[in-house]
Amino acid sequence: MTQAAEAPAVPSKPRTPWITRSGLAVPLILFALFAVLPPILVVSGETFLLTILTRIMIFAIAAVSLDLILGYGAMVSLGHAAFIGIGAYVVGIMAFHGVSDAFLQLLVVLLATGLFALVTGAISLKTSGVYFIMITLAFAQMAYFTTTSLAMYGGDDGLTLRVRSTVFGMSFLGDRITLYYIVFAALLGAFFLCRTLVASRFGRVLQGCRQSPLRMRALGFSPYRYQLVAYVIAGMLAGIAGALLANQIAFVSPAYMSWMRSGELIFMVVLGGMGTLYGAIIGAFAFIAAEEILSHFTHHWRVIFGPLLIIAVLFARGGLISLIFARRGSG
Amino acid sequence: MLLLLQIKRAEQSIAHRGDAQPPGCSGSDGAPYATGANVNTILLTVQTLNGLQLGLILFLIAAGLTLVFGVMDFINLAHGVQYMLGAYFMVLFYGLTGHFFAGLVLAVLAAILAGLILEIVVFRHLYDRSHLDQVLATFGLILFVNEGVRMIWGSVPISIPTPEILQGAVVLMPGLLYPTYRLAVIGAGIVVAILLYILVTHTRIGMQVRAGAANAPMVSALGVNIRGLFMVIFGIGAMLAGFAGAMAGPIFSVEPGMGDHVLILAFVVIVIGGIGSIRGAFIAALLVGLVDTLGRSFATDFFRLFLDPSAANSVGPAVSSMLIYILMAAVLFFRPAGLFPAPGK
Amino acid sequence: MAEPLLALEQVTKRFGALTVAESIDLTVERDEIHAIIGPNGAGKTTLIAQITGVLPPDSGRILFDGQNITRLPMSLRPHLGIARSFQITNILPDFTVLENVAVAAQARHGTSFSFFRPAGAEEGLNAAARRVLERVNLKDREGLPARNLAHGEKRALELAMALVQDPKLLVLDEPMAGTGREETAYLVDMLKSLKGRYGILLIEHDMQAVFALADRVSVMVYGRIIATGAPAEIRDNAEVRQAYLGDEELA
Repeated sequence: MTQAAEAPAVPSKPRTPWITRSGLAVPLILFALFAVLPPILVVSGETFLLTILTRIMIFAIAAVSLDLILGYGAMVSLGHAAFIGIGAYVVGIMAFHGVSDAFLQLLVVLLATGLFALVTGAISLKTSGVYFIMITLAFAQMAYFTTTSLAMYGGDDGLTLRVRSTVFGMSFLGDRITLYYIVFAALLGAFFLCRTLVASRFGRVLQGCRQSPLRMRALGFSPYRYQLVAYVIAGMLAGIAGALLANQIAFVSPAYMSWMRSGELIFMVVLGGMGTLYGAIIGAFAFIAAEEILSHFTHHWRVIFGPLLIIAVLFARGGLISLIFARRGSG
Repeated sequence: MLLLLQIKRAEQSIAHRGDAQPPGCSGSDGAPYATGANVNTILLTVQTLNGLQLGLILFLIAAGLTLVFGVMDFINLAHGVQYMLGAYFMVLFYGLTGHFFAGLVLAVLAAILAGLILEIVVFRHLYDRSHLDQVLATFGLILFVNEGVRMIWGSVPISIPTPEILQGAVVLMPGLLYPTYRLAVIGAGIVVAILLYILVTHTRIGMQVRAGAANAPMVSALGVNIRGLFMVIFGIGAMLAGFAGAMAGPIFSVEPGMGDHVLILAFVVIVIGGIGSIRGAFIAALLVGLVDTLGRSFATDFFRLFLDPSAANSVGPAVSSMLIYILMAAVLFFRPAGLFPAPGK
Repeated sequence: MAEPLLALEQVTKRFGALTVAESIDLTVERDEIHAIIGPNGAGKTTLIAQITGVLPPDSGRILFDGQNITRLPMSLRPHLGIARSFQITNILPDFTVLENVAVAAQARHGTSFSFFRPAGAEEGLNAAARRVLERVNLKDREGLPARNLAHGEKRALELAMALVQDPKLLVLDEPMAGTGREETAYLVDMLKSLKGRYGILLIEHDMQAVFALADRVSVMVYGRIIATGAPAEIRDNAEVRQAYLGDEELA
């Protein structure tokens, strides 16, 4: 088609090093930092920061899973925190009944969050646009109120974890550094799992459905099935984040699945840059760090934070990544 | 005594779920009470009235919101905040004037003003944006306003006294007294619903709104000032939500975040009723109000029919808190566009 | 085998009081290009929507390869061998040209519920995609994001996405829309090269292109087909000239 008059002049792609082409430069630097920070923090006596970093990584797992459906699947779920809450409650309730084995808990967490995602996703994904947003929000709220009505497990007040999860009967999740590295490993796993999914045939269809559902249907794909599978996978990953959160705080509460939490997760993904996966990690870091720093200055930090978020939406399209790295935003 | 406790509990559950605040005072109008007679009939009547009242308050909130969705395709999470502002303005102006009705009028005016300011400063820049951007920006607004209110009035729930002429209770049937103020809220809700219906079906602006809900680009192409129309719709929405908040003040306690839960109930109402449909919002709001209230009062008794009491005591509340969402799921399953989908959607 | 590839029998569709398709009978043979012409608003695009499954007809039957597909969901039709292009270019803008075609190939080859193997490394998909890209002259553009293509190239890409699916029937909704003169000539050549290998249902406004390509032409006006015949017959049909061609012939 060389005769096309209006064809833009496109420079042939220069050979770029593998690390740049693979898009792994930023995430690998991030992971390297996460890996070396604990010894440094322990030596310098800043163990409080270790707790915050663990928390950041836990929410980063949830944010990465949300990016899978939001950034790659264009599903604006305003109920993602429900999966964190369900994951946390499974651990809390099993521990309450004396079942503390981590593998057993993990299995039940995956089953419970997967089932909840399957049922609510099957209904929500029949709709789109504002309907989808409102319905995911409503189902999360349903989960929230269901836990508040569980009087046996503390209801509104939440439930203190009787015992942290154990591996082969041994309990070592109480140790901050061990927990840190377990969370770190989970984050690595979640990130590379999502990265693999996105690059697979399945991921291609998912991204195609984001760009043009009609085109994909005309090619013979039914978007619903692929979106539902992605929704279930994302829900299960967020459930793992919830199980880790329960172990970190040794407490579970309905507040984990409040809709404000879901909104915050979306913010993490968008602030960091949607559709990159590692953007979600940066977003989680930036969000929780900003929360910690602002709350040092004033008890009413949300009065500053709220408008900052509005300004970010109105002026910084493409997320923090686009501001820092001046990259081309996706979609 | 048991009856009174149940009513109290239902009331508190409405006022306080949605945040982790400890239950505080539950309003000053006094709960309905009954003596003698057929307790079940009376309880059913009282709870039906309570459900009706919750439904009408939900309608006032959902009516503006469904128009904003329908006409502008704009998802406004901050609508619940406007309900909360109505309640706090009521606290402010009732306090300043010392007169309930003067306070009510001023509160509604202030709510409209606040709504229009928000429209100009934030919302209007979001109409062309994606739903995601709209969710994010209005979410930021919620954080800001909730915290702002907390800075000014504190976190402690405030109760608004009932006006003198609406104090006391009315005998509805032998043995049943129902608070006058609650009846007044039901009456006011019905009046506003009728006025809104007339406005939407019998006036020029209402015609434009309905046409906009069915096909906004077409209305714009016909030369209607869409920006002006949007402001009018926002003004109406802010007014209704503010009115609902001000009226609800004496029944539920006024506290930061009180709008958040109500907002989600309004979403459920809109999804059930169909986006852009006032009639759908009205019917769905009453349905949600009744199902929620009656579910909370009778689910445990219902489960006692075939479960042992302790199981019923734990299953009942859990199921009753899920009822309206199950209702929503069922409606969506059979009618994905809601009960009364706007034409053209 | 006298059975046509595609057959519409008494297909009728109404939107309220407006009839957009009234008792349409239409066939496409296995190796012909059947063009539908008609003024804007005649119901051509709605007809395509019914053939491809976007809209169900109110009444009548649609048969493909002898199978009744009247109510078959849209996403199942490509698997029978129906591929389409859209009136308004509909590609996947964030994907590269190669990925656009590879994802189309993926729909016909193997399962897409494959989660771990990178799709970009599947030589089978890439090779199939490259073969088609060569046919539509887009080979040297394969690494470019599809959004950066020129308009005519996007139309060619859409055609490639259809071709890679090995269809029996190509449904092309105004493939020349919005293209410049050179691009049109290029697209006409390309469609000519496809002639005889596929059944093609072509909707087009460009009369020169239609008369150069079509074996049969049907004229659609206000939801009805008022004439069907060889291009020469249609050109000479008085009713058609009056209803539709009159102005253009003068100009």
